[in-house]
Amino acid sequence: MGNDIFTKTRVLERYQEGIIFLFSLFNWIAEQRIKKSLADCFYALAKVQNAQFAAYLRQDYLIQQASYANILNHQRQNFLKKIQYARKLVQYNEKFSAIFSKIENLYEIICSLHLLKFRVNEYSVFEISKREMQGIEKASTNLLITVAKNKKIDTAELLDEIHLFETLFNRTLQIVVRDPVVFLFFIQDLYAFNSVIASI
Amino acid sequence: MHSILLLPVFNNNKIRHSIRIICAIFIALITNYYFSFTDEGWIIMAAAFVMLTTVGSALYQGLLRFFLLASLVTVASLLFSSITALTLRLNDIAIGAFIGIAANIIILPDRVDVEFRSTLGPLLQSYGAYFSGIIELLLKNNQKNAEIAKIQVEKELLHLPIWVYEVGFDIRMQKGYRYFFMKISQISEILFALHYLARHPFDVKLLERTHDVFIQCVLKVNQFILALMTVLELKKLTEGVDDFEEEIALIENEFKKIAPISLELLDIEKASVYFVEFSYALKELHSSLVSLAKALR
Repeated sequence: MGNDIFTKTRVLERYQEGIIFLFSLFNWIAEQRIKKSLADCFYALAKVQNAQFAAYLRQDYLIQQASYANILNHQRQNFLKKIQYARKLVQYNEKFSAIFSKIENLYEIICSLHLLKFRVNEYSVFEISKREMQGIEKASTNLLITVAKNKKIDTAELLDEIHLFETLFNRTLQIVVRDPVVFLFFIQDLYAFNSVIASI
Repeated sequence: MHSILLLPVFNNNKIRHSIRIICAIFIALITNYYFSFTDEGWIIMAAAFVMLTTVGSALYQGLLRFFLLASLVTVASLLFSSITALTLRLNDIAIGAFIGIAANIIILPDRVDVEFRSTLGPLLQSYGAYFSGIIELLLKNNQKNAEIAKIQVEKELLHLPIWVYEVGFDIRMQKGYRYFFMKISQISEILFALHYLARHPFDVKLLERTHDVFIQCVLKVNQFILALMTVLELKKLTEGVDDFEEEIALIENEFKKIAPISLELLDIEKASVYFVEFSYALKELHSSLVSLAKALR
């Protein structure tokens, strides 16, 4: 009789263990899905950033404006699809909401950064700052890709590039450009981008 | 028959496209039965293939697809079949492509304007709500409404008619539609930028002094958007619309009273730069909305 109860308790314990294992397995799968979708958002964001920089770096931008706009629109739509999918997943898991809101914040900062292309009419200004812009583009997209790969990030390279751009601004741009304050906005937004990405 | 075609359901381009494809396949089936050189169904296939084009690009993309199909068939026939079979197949493909392209252009052609306007109305409406949410965040530090409105804007942005940038989009409409599209996208970027800037904690005194002006600004932006939507719906405006240029000037004046600095000075403190940037973005929002209104005139 006592032996029978003992066996039943053992079986129940096994069941409990099995259920707990299944729960943790489902939880792990759900978390992996969320991580994957957040990584996809970062990749998409890197592509948006890359497409936005075409306005300053590509010499044929003014001639091929429609084609660059097409690329940017596709990248933007791709990002918006990814972020909406990630939002659906994250709303059931509070653990990832902080990183999700940082992605949203980064997108807003990228939008703010690239209002510069509407604010500066003289393309020659971007010729002066081409090297610095290239550096910022490379460093910022690399950071986004590194975050997407879930690796440790080092923002020193981006900070160096921002400092280089700031030096150029102080030495040349503020004298040459008709409305230098727009570059001040650009620099401030770059610092904001850097601080958000460093906090991930 | 004509009155049936005026039903709202026929304004939907997807339905129009489906009807076109069904008609073209029907014509292709009959042609294939009586005039096919090969009896391999190339006429039907070519007719369907050249019709898979985006809105407003029926001719160019149809021809492009015809050449693509013809090249693929040429390569495959040269590798696995004879020259005679290739000529016969190419004849069939040409007949099919002609049927497809002609049907795409003649039978219930795409209503580019309807499709374009139907996507922009809800988007503009969501822009108005988003702007109200951003100002609420700025003045009352209330995040909720801005976040809800942003999600709606993101959803609407996915429906943007990006086909206006497709290769071969009707050359007569390209310039106007692309300009309008560019301005609409620009407004979305400005709003996202404003959202980011509004999160910054500004001087309470400055916000108190500009509170009423910002509320006026919200009202006028929404009025402006409503007016744009009315014009987009092809209705007449019942009254004139004020823009918010005056309010922007008032905001700048209040800012200058509190932080009397020149914008040329480059050692402005961080919080001030954010506020100046906010008012710049506001000005850009104003000029984009005015450009949209001018484009619609």
